[in-house]
Amino acid sequence: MKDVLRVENLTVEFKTEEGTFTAIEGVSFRLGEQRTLAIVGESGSGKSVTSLAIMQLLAENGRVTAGDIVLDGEHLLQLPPEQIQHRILGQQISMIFQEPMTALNPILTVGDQITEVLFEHQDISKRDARARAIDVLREVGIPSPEKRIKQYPHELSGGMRQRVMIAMGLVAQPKVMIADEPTTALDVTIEAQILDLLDTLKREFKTSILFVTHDLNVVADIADDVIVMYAGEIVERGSVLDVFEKPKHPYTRGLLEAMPTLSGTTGDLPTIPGVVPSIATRPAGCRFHNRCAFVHDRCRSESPAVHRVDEQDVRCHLFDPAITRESE
Amino acid sequence: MARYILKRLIQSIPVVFGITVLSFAIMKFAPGDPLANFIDPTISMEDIEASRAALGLNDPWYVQYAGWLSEVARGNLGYTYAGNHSIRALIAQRFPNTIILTLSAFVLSFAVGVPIGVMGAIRKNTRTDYGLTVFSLVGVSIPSFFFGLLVIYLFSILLGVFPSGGMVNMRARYTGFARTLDIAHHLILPAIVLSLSNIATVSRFTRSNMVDVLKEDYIRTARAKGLRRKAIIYKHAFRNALIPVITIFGLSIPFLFSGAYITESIFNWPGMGSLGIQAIQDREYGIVMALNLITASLVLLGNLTADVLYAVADPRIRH
Amino acid sequence: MMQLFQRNSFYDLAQRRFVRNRLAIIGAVITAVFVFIAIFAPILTPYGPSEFFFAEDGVTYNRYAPPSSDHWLGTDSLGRDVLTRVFYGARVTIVVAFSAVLISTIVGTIVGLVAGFFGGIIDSILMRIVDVVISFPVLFLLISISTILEPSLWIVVFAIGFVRWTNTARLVRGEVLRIKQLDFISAARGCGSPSPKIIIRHIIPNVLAPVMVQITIGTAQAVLMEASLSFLGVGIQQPTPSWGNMLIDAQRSLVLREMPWIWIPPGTVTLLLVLGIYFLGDGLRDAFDPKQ
Repeated sequence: MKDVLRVENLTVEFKTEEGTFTAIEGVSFRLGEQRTLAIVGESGSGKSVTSLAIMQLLAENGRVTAGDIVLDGEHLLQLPPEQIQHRILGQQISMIFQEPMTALNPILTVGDQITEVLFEHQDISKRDARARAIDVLREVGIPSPEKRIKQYPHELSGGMRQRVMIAMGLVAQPKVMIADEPTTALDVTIEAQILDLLDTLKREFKTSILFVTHDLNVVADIADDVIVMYAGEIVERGSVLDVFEKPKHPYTRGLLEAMPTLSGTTGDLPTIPGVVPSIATRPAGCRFHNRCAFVHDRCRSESPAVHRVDEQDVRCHLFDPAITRESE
Repeated sequence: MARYILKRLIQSIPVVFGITVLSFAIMKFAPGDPLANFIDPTISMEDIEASRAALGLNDPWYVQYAGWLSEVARGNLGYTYAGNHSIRALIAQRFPNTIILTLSAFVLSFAVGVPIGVMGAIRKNTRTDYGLTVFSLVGVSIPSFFFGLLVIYLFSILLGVFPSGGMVNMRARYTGFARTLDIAHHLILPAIVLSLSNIATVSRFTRSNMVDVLKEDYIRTARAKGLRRKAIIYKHAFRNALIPVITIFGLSIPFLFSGAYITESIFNWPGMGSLGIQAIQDREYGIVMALNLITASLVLLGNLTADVLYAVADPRIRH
Repeated sequence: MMQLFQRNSFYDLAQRRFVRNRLAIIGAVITAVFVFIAIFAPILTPYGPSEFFFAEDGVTYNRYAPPSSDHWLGTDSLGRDVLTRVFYGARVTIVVAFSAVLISTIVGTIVGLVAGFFGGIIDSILMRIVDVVISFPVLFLLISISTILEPSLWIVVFAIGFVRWTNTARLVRGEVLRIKQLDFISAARGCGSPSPKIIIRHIIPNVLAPVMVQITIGTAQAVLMEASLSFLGVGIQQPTPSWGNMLIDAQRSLVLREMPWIWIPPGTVTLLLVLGIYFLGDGLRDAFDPKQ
C-alpha cells in the first residue's frame, strides 16, 4: 500500500521565557492512501503540535528542529514557504479545527470562504467556483446550499458550521485532511453524524484523514490505524483492531480501561493516577514511569526504545526482547 | 436593521434631554440673566419689560427651562449682549469653516492612523513597530497648542512655506478655484495640528485590534487554506480589525471639536472654536451655550451614525 | 494593598513583566523627576516664581532677557525667571492633575459599582447621565464650567474631575458586570453574604488593575487639560505659574519668532511629563494584560 504522508523522526522545539523546550520528539508514522490514522492522547501529549507542524502552522516561537515530512513524494520541510503556501496547503493537504465557532471568519459569507480556496490555488471562473462550492456543500449534507453560500457563519448551527469547515477542507480535493478534534465542541448526536460524514467523504474524495483526538470512542468509530502519544512521544502504534484488542503499553491499557462504554458504565471507572507532565517537567527515563503500575528501576533512568511486538510498535522496557529472552 | 436604528434613536431621546438640561444649567450658573439675551433688540424699553414678563423671567427655573427650550426648538438661539447680534446668524457664519477644518482632520486621522496601526501590528515587536508606538505616544502626549506653535515656528517663520494663520489671503482676494486652493493652503497646518493626536489614537487602537485579530482561530484557518499573506492580512484580518475602529469615528467627533477651540484660536481660523474663545473673553454666555448645544447635538448624531455604520459593517449585528 | 501584591501570584507575574518593560521604567523615572521638582522647587531655585528682576539701569524690569548665567532660561514678559516658573509650574500641574484624577476616580468608581451592581433602572439612569456628559466635547465643557465659576485652581480641578469620571464609571461598571457573571460571586451570594461585603471582597480587587491603568491615563490627560485651559486663559490665572499659561505670550508673533526660551521650555516639559505618564500607563497595561 502506498503512503500518502510519511513523517519521520519529527522533533519540535518551543522557545519561551523560561527556556527552550522540546514539545515532540522522534515522532514517526505513515498514513496510507484513503486510510484514517488517529493520533490519540491527553492534552499536553503533543498530538496537536504534530498536526500543526505538518501544516507548518506552529506558533512563532515553535520550530521543527529535526525530521522529515513527506507528502506524496515531496519533502515539505525542504520547500520554501511560498511553495508550501501556494501549492501544498489547502490544495494537497487541508485542516479542520476543533471550534467551528471561531475557526470561520465571522464577516465573510460561507460561499466566499469556500471559493477563496479555489481562487487561490486554481485557475477557475467565478461561476465554476460557485458551482463547486454548492456541490461540496451538498456533499457535506447541507440542505439548500444555494441559499447557504450567501449566509454568514453566525447564521448556522454548530454542526452546520463544522460541515462548512469540512467542505472548505475538501473543496480542492486534497490528498490528506487533518482533523484536529473536529467533533469535541459538538453534541453527541451531531458528533456521530460528522464522523459518518467524514468516513463517507474519505472514499468519495479519495482523501486520507489524520484524525487528532483525545477520545478513544471516536478512534474506534473512525480510524483504521492509531498512534498513542504521551508527553511528546509516540508510545504505541498499530491498527485500531490490534491496539484495542491487545494493548501493549501500560498507558494504552490504562486509557482503554478508563474508557466509558455504552454497555458497562456502572461503577467507578479505573483511571490512571496523576496527570500528563507539562513540557517543562517531563521526568527522566521513561516519561510515563511515575504514573505506571509496572514501573521498575530501569524505567527511572533509561528512556525506552521502540520495540516491535506482534503487529504493533511499543515504547516500553517491558517489551525489550533482551529482557524477555532473559526471563525465558 | 431599521428596528436597530429606531432603538438607538429612542435611546438617545433622554440623552438629548440631558444635553439641553446641562446646557441650561451651565447658563443658569452664569452671572446675569439667562434669558435676558433672548429679547428682540429692536423693541422699545416698555416693550422689553412686557417681553420679560412674557418670557417669564420671574418664573421658577423649570418654567424658564421650558420657555428656553421652546425658543431653541424654534431655532432662536438668542442675541449677543454687545451689539445685539443674532447668535444664530453668528454661528451660521462660522459653522462651515469649522466643518471644513474638522472634516479634513477627521479624514486625515483615519487615512494616516489606520495604515500606521496595521503596519505596527504586522511588524509587531520589530523596530518599525517600536518606532511607530513611540510616535503615537508622542502624538497623544504633545499639547496641541505647543505643537501648533512649533509647526508655525517651523513652517511659517523658518521655512515660510505655509501661512501662519487665517483662512484666506486677505490681500489677494482670490475667487473661484484659486480661492479653493488658497483655503487648502491655509488649511494644511491647522488640519495637521488638529489631527495629530487623533492619528495617534486611531493608530494605537487599530494596532491593538489588528494584533488581537491576528491571533484569532479564523486567521489560522486562512493560513491552513494556503491563502497568500496579503489575502490573510487584508481580507481576513484587516476587515475584522476595522469594525471596532468605527467606534473611534464617534469618539473622534467631540475630540476634534474640542481640539478646534485651540487650533482655531492659534491659527486664527474663523470657525466656531475661535468664536467660542472670543465669546468667553467677552462673557457672551449665550454664544457659549449655543455652541455647547450645537456641538453636543453633532456629537450625538455622530455617535448614532457610528453605531449604524457598525451594524452595516458587522453581519452579526446586521441580522 | 502591598499585601495584595505579595500574596497574589498574578501580581507577581505582572511585576516581572513590568520591570522588563523598559519604556515603563523610563516613564516612571520621568514622572518621579517631575514629582521631585514639584516638591523641592523652593530648594532647586534661588528665585521666587513671581519675583521681578530689574534691568541693569535699576529702573525698568529685565523683560525678555535671553538665557544667561543668572537666568538659565531667560526671563519672561514681566521680567520673571523662566526656569523658576517652570519648576513652580510643575507643582501646579501635578497638584491639579492628581487631585482631579482622585476626584474622578472616586466618583467614577462609586457610580460604576452602583450601576453595575444594582443594574435595572439605577443603571439606566446613571449610564444616560454618562452619555450626556460625554456628548459634550471635553474642552467645551471645561471652558464653560471654568469660565462661569470664575477660574481658579480648585475650579479647574473640579471641572477636570467632572469631565473625567465617566471613563472610570464605564470601565468599573463593565468590569462589575463581567465579574457578576462569574461563579464565585453567585457562590458568595448563595452563602448569604450581604451585598456590600460582596463588593469589597470580590469586586474591588478585580477592578483594581484596570482602574490603575485608567488612573495613569487619566493623569496624563488631566495634565493636558489643565495646560490647555490655562493656555486659553480660563485655567490657572497669573501670577500663579502654570505650564499652560506660560505659553500665552507665545501667541504674539514677536515672542514666537525671537524668544524661543519663553515658550519652548514649558511646552517641552508638558510633553515630557505626559509622555512619561503614558509610558508608565502602557507598561502597567502590558503588565496586567492577562492575554499575554
